[in-house]
Amino acid sequence: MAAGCVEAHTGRYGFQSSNLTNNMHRSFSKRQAYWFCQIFGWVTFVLYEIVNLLGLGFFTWEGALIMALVAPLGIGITHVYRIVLLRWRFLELPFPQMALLGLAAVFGLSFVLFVGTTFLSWGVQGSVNWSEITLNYLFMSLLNWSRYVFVWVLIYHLYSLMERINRTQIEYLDSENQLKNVELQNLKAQLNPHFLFNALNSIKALTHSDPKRAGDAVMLLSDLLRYSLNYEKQTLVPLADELAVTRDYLALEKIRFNQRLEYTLDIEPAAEKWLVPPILLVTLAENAIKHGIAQSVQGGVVQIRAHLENDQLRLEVCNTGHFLPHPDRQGIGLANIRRRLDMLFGGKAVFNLNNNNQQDTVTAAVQIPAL
Amino acid sequence: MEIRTLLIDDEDLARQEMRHLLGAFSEIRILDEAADVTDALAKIRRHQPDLIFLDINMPGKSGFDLLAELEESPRVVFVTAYDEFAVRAFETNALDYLLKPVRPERLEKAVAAVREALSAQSAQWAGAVPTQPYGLRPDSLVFIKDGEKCYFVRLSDIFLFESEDNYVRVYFGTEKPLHRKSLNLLIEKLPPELFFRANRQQIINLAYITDIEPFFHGTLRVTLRGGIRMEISVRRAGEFKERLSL
Repeated sequence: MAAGCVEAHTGRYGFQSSNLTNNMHRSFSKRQAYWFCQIFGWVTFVLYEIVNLLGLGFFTWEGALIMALVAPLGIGITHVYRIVLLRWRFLELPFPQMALLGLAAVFGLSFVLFVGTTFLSWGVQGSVNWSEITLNYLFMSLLNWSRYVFVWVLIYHLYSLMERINRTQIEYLDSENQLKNVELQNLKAQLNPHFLFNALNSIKALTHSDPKRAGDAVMLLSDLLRYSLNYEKQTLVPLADELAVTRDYLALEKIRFNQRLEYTLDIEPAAEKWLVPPILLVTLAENAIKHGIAQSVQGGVVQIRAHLENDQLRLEVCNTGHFLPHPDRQGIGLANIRRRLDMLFGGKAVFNLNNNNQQDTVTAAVQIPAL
Repeated sequence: MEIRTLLIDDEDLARQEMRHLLGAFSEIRILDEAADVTDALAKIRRHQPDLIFLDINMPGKSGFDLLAELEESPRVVFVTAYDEFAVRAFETNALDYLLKPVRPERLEKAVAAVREALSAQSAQWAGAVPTQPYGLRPDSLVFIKDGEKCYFVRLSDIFLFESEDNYVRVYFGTEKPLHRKSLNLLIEKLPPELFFRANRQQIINLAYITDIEPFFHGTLRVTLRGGIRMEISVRRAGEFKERLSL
């Protein structure tokens, strides 16, 4: 195939069959490019051969006719090869397998071309000197054809490879983008404005009624804010750090909700060193207060438990109330927790939310494996 | 003038802070406090305050739910940490909102606006007394929530109530939201000097009538300001003539 084709090929021509339906306009131009390359390449090949024959003084009209008929034959068989590649998704194979496949295809297609041209000669000239076709002749013909077929296969496969690389790069950028979005949502979630402004309002009230307590609350709030602003620098933190900031958070909410909020912490000392995603426990505690305490006139209890079992950390946040799964809006907070755990532990961390109807409580439980 | 006030917030400290801030206003008299919607409903009915400071986000039911359950709304100033977008859904300016923590100068403006509204009201409708318990006066404020949109409307600005399934469509200005109360329940609360039941579907504001003409079979045809026309049924026509000739 001719070199002129390469430019037309690159950048415009792709092989992903599933794209065809998605993007009619683009696939149409890709299809056009493909056919342009096929025809241009094979016509160039024919002209090249004829010029070659002329130069060597072997030109006959019959020979030229045979060559001219080789072009549609070549287009036909390479097109069948392309259909096979797309139909069985061979282009998605890993590189070494694809290279082997390409090599096999070069000889396979060359053989078909050889057989095809032999029959073409027979048709055009009316007779073939069958005794001429020895094993040696066959071998030399295959080598001869494979030069051209090799160019076709090389261009086609290289182009598909390039497209694949482009696609993975786009996918990578997409997932990178999603990750950033999750981070942003987390950031917004933990700087929960409802909590923040209500806490500030409580502190303001305390400045006249109980200035000492107001001062303490400012310290709690600043610790919590500092942690919120810095936590994303680490992917995992010891549970002890999370507990410290969760205690600050609960103490602040206690100021706000007063007797409506009771809370207990039951932590196995060995669990404190376990590595957990930052802000996870605070988010769970925040959820517990939002749904268990803030929605109830008489308030309720929040219990936090951390234990080691079967070489995993089991973290539980339990609050008074009842959890109603809402089909339309699965809480952003919960979805975010799941996504973060998946990203960090690749499906090995388990998160679930369960009602206990007898005790009228909801428990959010996370199981975190060791790293 | 004294402004009889109720504080409604589920957080003790938030109420305490509001009380502290309102201490600077001599005309504000805090009658009571309520920590949730049920409590607040009872206390509003008992005290009939002129003004409530209302938190939006409360356990179980919100501040909006509270207003929707009241027959008549006092003046409302919303106080919220972060729900001002919810308050902005309002179509009228009959209310104000403050953000927590509340700035004293912002509170001063809100109180001044309430003071002005209340004095205008008392001058116009001095002596108007509701005929029923929880009955409405022509200057009563009614809170209407239709989907996402909320309205505070003065009763005397409403020119037509029209029953629609189990609810009532309320016409005022260019708006016609759906009010989630039945026409029968409403007619008992409405001041009879202003509102008249024209037929089974409609209650009209007498002050808005521009034209009355005899119609078929002893019915009357009434035209309201703005050109809306309706019939007064034979059964109601007699009482209607009586009312207008008074």
